Amino acid sequence: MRDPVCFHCQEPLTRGSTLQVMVAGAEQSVCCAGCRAAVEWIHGQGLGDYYRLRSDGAGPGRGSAADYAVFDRPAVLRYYAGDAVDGVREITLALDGMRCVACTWLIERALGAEAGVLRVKVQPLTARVSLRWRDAEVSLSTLASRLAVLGYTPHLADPTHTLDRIKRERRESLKRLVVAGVGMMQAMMYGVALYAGAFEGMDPTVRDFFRWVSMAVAAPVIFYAGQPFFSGAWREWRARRLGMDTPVALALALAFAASIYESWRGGAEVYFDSLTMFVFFLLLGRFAEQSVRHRAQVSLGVLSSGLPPLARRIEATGEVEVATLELAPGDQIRVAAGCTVPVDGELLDAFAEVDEAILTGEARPIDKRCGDGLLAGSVAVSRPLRLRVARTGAATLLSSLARMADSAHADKPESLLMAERVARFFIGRVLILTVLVALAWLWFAPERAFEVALAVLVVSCPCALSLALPTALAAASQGLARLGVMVVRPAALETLAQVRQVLFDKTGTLTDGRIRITRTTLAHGVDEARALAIAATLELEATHPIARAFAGAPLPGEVSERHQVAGQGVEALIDGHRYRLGRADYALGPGQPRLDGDVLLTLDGRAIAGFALEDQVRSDAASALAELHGIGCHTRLLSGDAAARVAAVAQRLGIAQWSADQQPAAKIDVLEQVQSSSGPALMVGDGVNDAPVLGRAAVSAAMGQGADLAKAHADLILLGSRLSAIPDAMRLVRRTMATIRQNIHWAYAYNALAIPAAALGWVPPWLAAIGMSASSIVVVWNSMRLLRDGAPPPVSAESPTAAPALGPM
Amino acid sequence: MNILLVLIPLSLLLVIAAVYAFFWAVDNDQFEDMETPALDILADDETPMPTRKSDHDR
Repeated sequence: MRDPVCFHCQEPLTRGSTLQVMVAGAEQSVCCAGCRAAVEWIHGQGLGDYYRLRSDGAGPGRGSAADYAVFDRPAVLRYYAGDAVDGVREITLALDGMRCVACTWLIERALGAEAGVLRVKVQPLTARVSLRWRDAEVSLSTLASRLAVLGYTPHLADPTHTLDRIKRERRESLKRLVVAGVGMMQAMMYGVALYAGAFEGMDPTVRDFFRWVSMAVAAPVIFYAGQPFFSGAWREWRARRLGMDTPVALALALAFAASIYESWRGGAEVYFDSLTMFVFFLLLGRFAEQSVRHRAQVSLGVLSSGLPPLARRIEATGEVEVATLELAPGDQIRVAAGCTVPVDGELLDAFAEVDEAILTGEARPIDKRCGDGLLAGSVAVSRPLRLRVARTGAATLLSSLARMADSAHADKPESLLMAERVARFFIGRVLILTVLVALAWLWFAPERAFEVALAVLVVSCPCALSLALPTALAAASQGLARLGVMVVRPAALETLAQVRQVLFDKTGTLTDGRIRITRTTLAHGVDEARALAIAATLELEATHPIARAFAGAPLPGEVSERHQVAGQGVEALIDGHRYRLGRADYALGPGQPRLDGDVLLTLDGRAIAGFALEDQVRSDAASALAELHGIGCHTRLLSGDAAARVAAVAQRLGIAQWSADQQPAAKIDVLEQVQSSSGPALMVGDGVNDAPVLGRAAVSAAMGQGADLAKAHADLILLGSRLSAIPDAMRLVRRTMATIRQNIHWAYAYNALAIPAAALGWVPPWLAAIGMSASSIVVVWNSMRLLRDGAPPPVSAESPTAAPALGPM
Repeated sequence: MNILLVLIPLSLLLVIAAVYAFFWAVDNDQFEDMETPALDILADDETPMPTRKSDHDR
């Protein structure tokens, strides 16, 4: 039993949380009011089975219909849902927070129970839900808020940007896999007959008949199922780069051609069965790897939907609200203060202040003058602005950044993995050796030259080597997925195994971003309740994280002249008295005595209360860090916050080294210094400002609830934001690399024995074929061990009263 | 052994039929969701499922 977790979202509970909910006659703890509402609603609908069926926690519940009012605007409906036919509309929404199978079950039943909903279909693969509903009976915003309450944040999915590619890729791989599998079984069957015939004696006509039939079933396996290897080899050839596909394609083509030649001349041995098996195993490994990668891409697909769905277009007759995607270059639009610029464009006002943090990581607002370029995704800080549209939708810089991230993930990573280097080195040597052996035999005994050369090629077939890596990586990816770690860039796994330095961002990573009051010091006869109420009133509309520490019932009095000074504090007039809450130098009047605490509350310049604040550390942070230290990793804390708060967190978690007041650029400096002195480092972060550091680290991990930009730059994504997944993942990856090394050593040892024997003509072709198949099977079996005894139990169903988990399917 | 000349081509025909059936299934969304249907059977559905109604409209 781990720390107590929320019954609904399975996030660790913060200390002192007292929210309870009655479930089936028992009290269960939940982390927040949103989750409580979700539990109550799910049980009220008779859908309590969800908690029994799921294998991972839900996203925290939040949201109300008002948050999604924009979904009901005619412009949005027209664009995203098309025109109503007989009052029925159809729309596809992208969902954030789809974690496990039970999600599909819950969503389909929960939304299906709403009046006016005609059809709900969830596509778990692409995290989309398609809805058909009667406009007159239920509004889309009601349905969207239902989803949000359950913990699935709905986004409008651009109908022109679909995840068709992933779907197509998956379908193609499935078909190839099955063709290879069925072909393999058939070829094996004929192979058994041929082997039996070889020992028991078989009429050559019958034998040849079996061989031609074997060829007939092997041909589609080689040319249809094995087509990715040939096209991959062609790509590598055009790029003049010897990769993994070249040796595979060569081996397939040569062995297949040789088998046909042998069948035709009635030679000793054919290899159709071994070939089909080889293709099948390779495809199986690739399919597993691809499935994991697709899941990662789907979760990143939401990135481009960070833009507002609506815009205000300035027309001759006034301003009109339109869907962002209806905008065309040349249109003029207005962006309200605090809102996100939906398109790339050119500023029409004389002056504007925008925040481009999502694009550059620079948190300070940037001044723009008339005619300057504005980028989609930046935020108008202080005042509304007008701009002329230059580029929309997919043409914006933000979208192209997102696409870049996409294609970087889709393409094979630039850096070659250890096994690939080994295989590349190996295949070149074998090819040369085969030619030499063939020449030598032509000289001594020309009648056996072809047979021996073929035996060398077949026995040394790089199958074992080329399977060594993908099978182990696929097994590792699956194991990591069970831990709640999504692998975005598989090549990072090898580096992760070497990592001995782990760097953490503080806010949102080690802490959950919440701040709490640890101590209150009072003066001038104010009691604590009143001090907190005044503070709550002052912070009512503030957006800084500190404001949430003071969330409480505000004073009933009249409030005016509310001001917020970034990084300093807030002030307001309450019932005619001027109150300030903030840093001492801001809140205190000149010459006034100060009080203990990080934040002071002052009345007309006199301090009446001081609050000591503390970051709320994630409940599994301490144990995760202890585990990291246990497996020989050094940890370091990098934060943009003030030294005192960073030091407090570092001390509580046992982190020896920390740096405070770090801007993104300074964080990169620290990172590079660490990487140059003590090898590759893992950077864990969550915020937009962490994105540049994440991009620069040898391996990077982003929290699942972090900013999209951070996730786009990360190699790994921690779903559920569980920190203890990091040490678990590192252990699994280290074991994976050990397995890969074993595989390679095995393949080497086998080849060291088999190749000389074959070159000397001691290996009859049938033995070569068995050797080739057996060496591959050993490798696949060794990799699969990672799955069998490797993965720890899933994090599911740890709630005390939950029925036994059904486990991963 | 001549029977092989009939049986083996016959088995090949069956294989082709099986692969064709599988391709059809993949193209018709049968493999889009491999996990939910397995769970469906475990859920106690005491309330009639409203989603079913709508299946007729399709």
